[in-house]
Amino acid sequence: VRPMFTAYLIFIALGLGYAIVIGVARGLGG
Amino acid sequence: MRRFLREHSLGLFFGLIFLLALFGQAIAGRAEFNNHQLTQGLAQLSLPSYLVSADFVTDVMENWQSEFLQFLLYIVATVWLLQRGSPESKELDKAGLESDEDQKVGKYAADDSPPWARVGGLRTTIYSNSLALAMGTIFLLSWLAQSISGVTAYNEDQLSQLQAPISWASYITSADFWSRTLQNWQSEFLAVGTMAVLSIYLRQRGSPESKPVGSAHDATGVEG
Repeated sequence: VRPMFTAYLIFIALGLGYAIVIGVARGLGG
Repeated sequence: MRRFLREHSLGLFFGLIFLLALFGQAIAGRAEFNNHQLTQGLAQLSLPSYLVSADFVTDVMENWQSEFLQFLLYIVATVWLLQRGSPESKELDKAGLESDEDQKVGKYAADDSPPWARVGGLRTTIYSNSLALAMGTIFLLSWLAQSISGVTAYNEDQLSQLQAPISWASYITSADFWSRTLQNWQSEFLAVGTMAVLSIYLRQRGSPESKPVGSAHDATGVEG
């Protein structure tokens, strides 16, 4: 049961982290 | 392996079609972005460059936030709000947080209950709301991400038209931000309401989202 739960949470965390990092980096003049 | 695939087919199926759709969005989004660039006489982007563009990130995040808001509202609203005849609603006398006995918390916890359901205090309060907390956190972070990449994409567009860039604080009250936000929200809210209401009279044999085919139309809180 746990591998799917963990995989979804990791996927979402990576997606959100990616989006925020790209947004901030681009906004700072990237 | 076969057993794993069978027992996790729902999560695997949606994970797979998510990745395929995201890939398709990247391909089509880049083509559309480059068409727009062409008409403006601006440089074309490669796929890797498009994947790290504010434009792509904004398009992805504006849809994420609305989906997680939809589920957050559905999870929380269905605690108190009812819909007679809907399998999505609780039975009509169960509105509210229900008793500890119904929810198997504290001294009513079963042998196989999660430890945080039994322990009481802050941990049980947190665990009792953990699904809404998780969906709410993802909603807020993706909406924040939409606004951060959104202002960057907006400003790139402004600069290409020799217009002044705006601050993040100005952007979150801008027409662009709210147009992107509300166009996603309206469709989610309609779809959720439709699901709750159409399932009063309509059925899908075998689906837990539907009542059993032969259930009465006014049977509420019955899942197939």
